[in-house]
Amino acid sequence: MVDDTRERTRAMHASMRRNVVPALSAGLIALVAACDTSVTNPGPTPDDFLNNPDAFAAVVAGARRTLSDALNTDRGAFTLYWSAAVTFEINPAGSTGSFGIPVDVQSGSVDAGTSNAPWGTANEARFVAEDAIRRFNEIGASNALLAEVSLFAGYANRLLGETFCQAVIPPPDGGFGSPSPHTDYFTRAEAHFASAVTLGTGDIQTAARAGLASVRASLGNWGGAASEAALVPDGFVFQAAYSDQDQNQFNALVWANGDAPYRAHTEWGTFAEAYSFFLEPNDSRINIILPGPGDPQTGDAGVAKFGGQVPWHRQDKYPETSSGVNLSSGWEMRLIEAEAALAGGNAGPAVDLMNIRRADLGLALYDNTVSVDSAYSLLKLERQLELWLENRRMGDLRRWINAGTPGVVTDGLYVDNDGPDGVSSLDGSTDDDGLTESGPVETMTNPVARALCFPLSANEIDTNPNVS
Amino acid sequence: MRGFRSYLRRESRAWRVASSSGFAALGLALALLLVATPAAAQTGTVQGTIVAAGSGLGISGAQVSIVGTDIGTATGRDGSFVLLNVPAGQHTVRAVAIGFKVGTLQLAVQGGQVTQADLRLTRSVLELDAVVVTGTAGQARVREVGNTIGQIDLQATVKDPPQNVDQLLQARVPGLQVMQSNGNAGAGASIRLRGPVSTSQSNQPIIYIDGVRVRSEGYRRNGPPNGIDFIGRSGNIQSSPLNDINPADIERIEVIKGSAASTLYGTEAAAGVIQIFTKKGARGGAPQWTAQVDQGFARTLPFGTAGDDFVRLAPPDNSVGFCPDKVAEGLAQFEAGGTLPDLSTTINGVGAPACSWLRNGWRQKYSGSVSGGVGDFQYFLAGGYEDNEGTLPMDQEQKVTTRGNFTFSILDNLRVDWNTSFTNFDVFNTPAGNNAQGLTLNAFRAERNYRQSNNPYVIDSLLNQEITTEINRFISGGTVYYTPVSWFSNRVTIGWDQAQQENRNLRPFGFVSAPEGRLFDEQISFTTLTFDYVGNVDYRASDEFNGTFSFGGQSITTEENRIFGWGRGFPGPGAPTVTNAATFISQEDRIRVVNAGFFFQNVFKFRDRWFLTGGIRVDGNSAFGSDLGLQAYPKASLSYVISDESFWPASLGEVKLRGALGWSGRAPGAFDAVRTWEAVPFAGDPAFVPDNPGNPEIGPERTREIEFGLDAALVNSRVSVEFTWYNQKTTDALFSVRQAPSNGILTSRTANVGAIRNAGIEASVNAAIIDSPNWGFDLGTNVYTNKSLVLDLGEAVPFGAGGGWVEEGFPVMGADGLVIKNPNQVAEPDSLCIVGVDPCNASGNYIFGPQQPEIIWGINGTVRFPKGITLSARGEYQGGAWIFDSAADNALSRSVIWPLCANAEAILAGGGTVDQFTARERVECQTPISSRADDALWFPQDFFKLRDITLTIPFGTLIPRTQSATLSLSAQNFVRWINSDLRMFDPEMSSRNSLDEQNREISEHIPPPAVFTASLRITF
Repeated sequence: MVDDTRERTRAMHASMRRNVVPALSAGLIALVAACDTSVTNPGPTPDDFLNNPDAFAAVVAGARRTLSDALNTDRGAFTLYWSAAVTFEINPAGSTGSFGIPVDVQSGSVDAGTSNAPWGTANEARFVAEDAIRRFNEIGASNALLAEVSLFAGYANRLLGETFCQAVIPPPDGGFGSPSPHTDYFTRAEAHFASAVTLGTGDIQTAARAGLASVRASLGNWGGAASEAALVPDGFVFQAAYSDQDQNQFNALVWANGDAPYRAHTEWGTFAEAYSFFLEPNDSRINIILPGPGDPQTGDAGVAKFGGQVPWHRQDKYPETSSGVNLSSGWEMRLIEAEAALAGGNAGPAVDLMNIRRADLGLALYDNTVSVDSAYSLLKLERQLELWLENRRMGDLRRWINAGTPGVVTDGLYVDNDGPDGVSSLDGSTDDDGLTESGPVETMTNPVARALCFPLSANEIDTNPNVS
Repeated sequence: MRGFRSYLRRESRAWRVASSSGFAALGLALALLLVATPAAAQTGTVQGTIVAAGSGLGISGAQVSIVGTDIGTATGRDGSFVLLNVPAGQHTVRAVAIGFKVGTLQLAVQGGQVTQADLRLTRSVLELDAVVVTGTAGQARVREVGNTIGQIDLQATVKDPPQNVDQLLQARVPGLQVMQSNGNAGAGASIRLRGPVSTSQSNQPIIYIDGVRVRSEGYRRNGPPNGIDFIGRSGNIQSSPLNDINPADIERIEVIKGSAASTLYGTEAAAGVIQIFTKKGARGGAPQWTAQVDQGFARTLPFGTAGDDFVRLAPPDNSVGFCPDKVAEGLAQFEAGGTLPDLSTTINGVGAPACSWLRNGWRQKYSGSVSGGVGDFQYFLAGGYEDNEGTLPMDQEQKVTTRGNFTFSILDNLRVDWNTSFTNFDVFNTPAGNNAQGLTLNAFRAERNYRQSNNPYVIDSLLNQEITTEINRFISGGTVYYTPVSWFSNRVTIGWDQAQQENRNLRPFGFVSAPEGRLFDEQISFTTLTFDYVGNVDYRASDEFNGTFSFGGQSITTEENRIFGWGRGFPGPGAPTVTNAATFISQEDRIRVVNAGFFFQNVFKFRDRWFLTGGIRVDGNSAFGSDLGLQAYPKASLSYVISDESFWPASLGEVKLRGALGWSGRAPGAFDAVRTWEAVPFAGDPAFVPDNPGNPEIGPERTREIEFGLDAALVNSRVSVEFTWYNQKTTDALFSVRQAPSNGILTSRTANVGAIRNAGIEASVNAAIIDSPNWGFDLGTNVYTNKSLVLDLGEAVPFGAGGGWVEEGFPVMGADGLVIKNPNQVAEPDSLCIVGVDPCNASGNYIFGPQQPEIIWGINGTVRFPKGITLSARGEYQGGAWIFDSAADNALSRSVIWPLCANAEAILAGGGTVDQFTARERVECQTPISSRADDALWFPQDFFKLRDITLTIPFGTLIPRTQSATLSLSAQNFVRWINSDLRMFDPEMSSRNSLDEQNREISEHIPPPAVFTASLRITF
């Protein structure tokens, strides 16, 4: 019995040595191998990599790109596009969703939900530029790079200040910011532009001076604005760049009207069209194209507000999806100087400054003996024409109203009251309804007060405990 | 689904698995081969017949095996079998057959002799000794498993010729929800098991085929990504990898539905597991050939409003004909100098085609197989071809499938299974869905569409596009079963699933809205590698107490490599490549994710009726944060076959009680852990823009599930009952934590902050009401309920996800919008959401309910007539969910004269005013449209569909030189009921990426068509 047991035990041990041990070993090897889960996926760049000075140029390019995106791309926001619709620089021609004008914007208001993309991407542009300044200061970067990224930080803050009703600036040590007056962005922009003026050279420095002048104007510092503006030559232009290589980089105002398939907005019924067709056909600042015989004649869908489809008249200030948008220009500087003069009660010098541009365009010069109030009306018209479709109008209207600036504005809906077929001729004639065609049928205040700024976004309200 | 089980495998209790990766797999397989023992030399033959107790009729297809060996075969039509090369000595013959209890017989085999073995099997519904694999450590008998396992045995339960696997799964297993996305060619279905377990990750269950993990997420939709060109420019469908499998190759399917069952699959299994088992050859069996021919057609049923049955895609009477044909004829007539025939009409005063853009699509399918065995080698070879026209003009699917399954019984204790399949799937799509240049969108919107006309001659220009998708799918995997000693068994599986997808989307030179031409071509490679090992040690403490200790490991590597080119501006007509374009760009993405882990499990078995299982799975995953370690998922379950107790009266039938508790997970996205920047081009320079905020502590969602239930066979096994109560709680739920935009980061941070719950019941009753030799009537019903709830948001603020809203106290991704409490009153809309009275969320919106059904009720029945003729039917009701009508929203916001505003339009046309509108019409139909109209377009999506009704007529051997032939006549989805509150459309016509998303959204599609099929299957 004992021998049998020993024999069985020996046989079992032999079996284990021969069969079980190798199988168990193989299993254990498999278990150990199973624990290796390390993977490096190419593509996204870890944050630490941006601390390499060789990457700084791309960091600066990122600041510039996010600024362009925040202003006017599909990747970013349609801030320029929608603010143009609120201020009647364009009218809706169909789509409301993709590349279209939302219903609230069509009616002249901007819901907090609609504000999500404009608010978010403008803050992203500010963050990217200011984070780059922080990174460059910590690691050390050239003055040229610091100047350039400071310039974009300035423009990003100016975009926020000119577009939104309030500011929310996060504390330097993290956490959530609290609502404050929108002019806080101008103050912040002023510091960035000033830094860029100090550190930069050439076009960067000139653009920074122009930016500095514009935000000082918004802050009512007319002396400081005029002094910087005076250093910017007439023909200087600094633009937000766009590209036709990728839809993400397209000028969205163009793409939304590119007839492929979108014909989402129109110049039909705008002051710009009335001005261009009837008041001053020779002003090259306003470019509008009417459809040819073979082209679609109307927008891409019905517009509820107009009860159907409306004529499709395209802006041609930006002919290509790669057309840049002015962030600053010398001609804007002349108008800042003119407005500074008006702020000092000097109508004649102000009109003379406006006439520099009109002479350059070959237009009739304004009478420089007009009153200050009349000169303000001319200034408001000139800024409307000079800065057409540059996302500046809403900010202008707000600061003029806030400051109680004299003069009239012409923003509105200029259509024949008979329906979507006619354009107001502004000639004082009587239309089929017996109404005089000499002004807009809607204005920024009639029948409803239209928005002068975008509200804080729904996302900000939802996520920031300091905002309600 | 209980009641019909498949007994497939011999009962070698011992083989179980483990895992790792790469070369370890090969090494382990070789190691196992090297230690195998040689076969015995003295052998005999066992032959006999397996018959049903009572009737004495032979049982066809019963699996007969010698216990403890790898010897087995299937019985012939008369129940007879022969087992060759059986080692001399004492053996147990075991016979298992669908619908019968296991039978065993002790016998002595003598070398060179033939031993007779006849068994009589008694009917069984529960089939407690059937072997299941999924969710177990290798395999287990049904009686041992403490959780429910849904099973579909194709031979026993599927009477209709399934069009694809999606359709095969519909309405067969309680808790398994299959929603067809739409009726376009190639469109797959979303599959959900026990509700949504995640708001940020996929809720598709993971899929295994013969032990090999395969892709479960949908294929990429054919269309340029946003940022390159508008995303909607395609057929807007998503294909399902499941449908690469030919249903004719499938033997059975196992479905485990929640974490209590899926623990051993670890981090990626919280949404459940579906395992498909394909057919194998019978050992020693003569070649058996099958051939099947399916012919049929698909027809779109009305989905519009009264008098506008097809929403301007076709006139109600369709007397003129098919629009593409009529347009071609008209243009030819015009070019020949004749007049252009008028193909326009009006429907309710709105322009519409007089012809039809819909057709009856011809469907044809041919498949064949041969299976058998030679000595220790078994094989199953199959091939198939199908060509299915869709009901839209350009829709077509062509599919070629091939399969080779081989089994090598190398030694008594060593067996190798190797299965390989290849599928070529070509899909041709009509531009549809939310596509501005699509047929359906522009037809729906009539004169206010993007072409400003619904004239067929105008709309026809939109068909000058090519939208093609080609998928080549290769799956190969093998399993080695090795039992070095009777108490220790091993199973190693390695597998490779490779799918190559090419999406090609051409708007040629001269296309109506892009005359310069555009081309998008995308090549994607999806790879899934499996390595899996399980070892089992059986031990016996006494005659009544024994157990099995299991251990193993598994590694799953998934990889998706994608590159595309997009170009615009071609020099002229012709067949271009991207290179021919004046401007072209390309993009590349590569994502690799590795999940690996190991497990231990022990099953205590007492008197073969008490089974207590405990186990733990430990996982690592490449997507986990750097600060996170391995993750452990424990499990425990108890099964008690109370009817085996002596005190249990036999008259009460068989009853098994069960309960299970387990955890499993869902991994975060591949990049969620790391803060990253995206390198993008800008004006010719590279630029960094913010990408992902990162979260180094991120880990998997953890879903804990507890379930209790019972399985019972009553009334002499003529009634089977299954009941399960389940409660899932997902903690560390990965929520999108929105960042304050003023801080500059726009992308939400994915973090383990939330908790959600899904709870409900599953119940089924199947009864053989009439069961006589010539006549029979089986009736079954099942019900599944699910209530989902957000329990905790953690640090997240309420957020939108999956087209719905995530907020504490509401259904997961609930439908939120503007309620109209008095829709049919001629009054101003009462839309006030009263906090404390109504279900109002933090934004003041009304929460209508969930987007996924809260109840699914299924019914099935089969009538058996003399001569084996059967008539079966299967239907399902889905209720309690809400769906957003995006198609109406898109149209109404563009001032389209919408069919649902016909009454309002008539009021205005008659000189009436908005004051005569109903409240709903005032929201939807007045001008200018309410800015909140888009919030009000949520509707109940309750529906019932008769998924199939099938008449099966067996011909026996009437066809010369055949063993059998069966003719099936089937109609699918041709009887429907849809909640009238939806007013138009069908809940199964949803948006573009609907397989992987939770949202239910009606898009500009057509519903799944009714399909009528005649199928002839011949065996010879």
